[in-house]
Amino acid sequence: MTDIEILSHDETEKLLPWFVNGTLNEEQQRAVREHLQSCPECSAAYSWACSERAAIYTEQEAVPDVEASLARMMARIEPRAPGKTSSFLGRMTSLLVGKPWMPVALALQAVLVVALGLGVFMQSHVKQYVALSDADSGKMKIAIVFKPDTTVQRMQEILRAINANIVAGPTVTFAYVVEMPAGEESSALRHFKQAPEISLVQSLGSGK
Amino acid sequence: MSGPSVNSIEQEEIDLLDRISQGDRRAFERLYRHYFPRLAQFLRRLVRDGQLSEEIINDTMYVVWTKAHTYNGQSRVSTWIFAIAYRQGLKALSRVDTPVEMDQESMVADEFVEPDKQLSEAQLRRHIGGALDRLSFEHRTVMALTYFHGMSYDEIAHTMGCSINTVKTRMFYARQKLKVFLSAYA
Repeated sequence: MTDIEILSHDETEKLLPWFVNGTLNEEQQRAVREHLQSCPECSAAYSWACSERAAIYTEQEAVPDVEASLARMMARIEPRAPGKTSSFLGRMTSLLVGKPWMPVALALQAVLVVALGLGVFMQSHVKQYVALSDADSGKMKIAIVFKPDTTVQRMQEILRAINANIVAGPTVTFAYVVEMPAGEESSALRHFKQAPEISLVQSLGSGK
Repeated sequence: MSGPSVNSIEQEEIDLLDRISQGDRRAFERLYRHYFPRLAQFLRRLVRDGQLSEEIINDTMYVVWTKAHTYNGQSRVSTWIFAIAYRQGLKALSRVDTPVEMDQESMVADEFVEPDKQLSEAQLRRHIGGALDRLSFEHRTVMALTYFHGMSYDEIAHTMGCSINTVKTRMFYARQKLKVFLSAYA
């Protein structure tokens, strides 16, 4: 205990925030504690630092909805695999990131994915088909998350009721991005919000 | 700071990054969910704008997705991700033309008052948000990383890409300024 580092008044004051948050090493903590016992000014500064920390720690900041943000994120990154040999579509996506015309190209990519995968996923019940010409930029996109126990048949019914097209998904959280003409967005949002099988609805806008 | 649970969380995060570098979307979603609340709290304290902070979170996590293979284990995963978030925050603020205030540390000394003598803890809590709004981006960052996220000064130096002395100095002046701003409410 005799080899405790002696800290000056200024040094102590500069270390107080990290003394308060408990990240100083043992030696520094001992030295600060030692100084505080003999310095009323630093002792008062220590109390103030505790109050600062408590005030900042308890400042209420509403945390946004993780599912909605995650759905947007997954629509942005799929289906690319970084650091590895990627597919043609993946390379196209990486080239397009940050470009103003990216949404249209992504929509084209999504339509290709739909053309390949929708037939299996939707089986033969869906009567509308998605062509490249459908991916115009005037359409609106909505992210929806189905509850895990929703049947494929019920998903089809919900989507068919408003002629919504799936253009991306599902993610592992059952999130899909659906597309529809801009004028029908508000009624579609209402329709999805009323469906008990859907746990989250988020408008993604036109993607422009 | 280095109990087994911390080590196992850190190891899990390293494993997730490794899987993400191979394009594992499920691993990415797991890391995203884990970091989203922390990044939201951090960025909201920095940019003071909910919608912008959400955009920065996704910009940050996009970098994580594309650059996971560059993580070299020299810092904790959380420090690596927060450093990306800090840089994305700076970039986003410059994009929306919100001035990123420079440190003006010399202005504080003359104005220095001691509101802790007059301001109650309840008042402090009520007015802390307004006072933080008036701090510079760098000062808010140091305070948030220290008091809210519990980082050491060397982790903060790594996150902000500056020296340990700069971190200590920023914190010192941030606290001085906070006292000045809070004195208006005393």
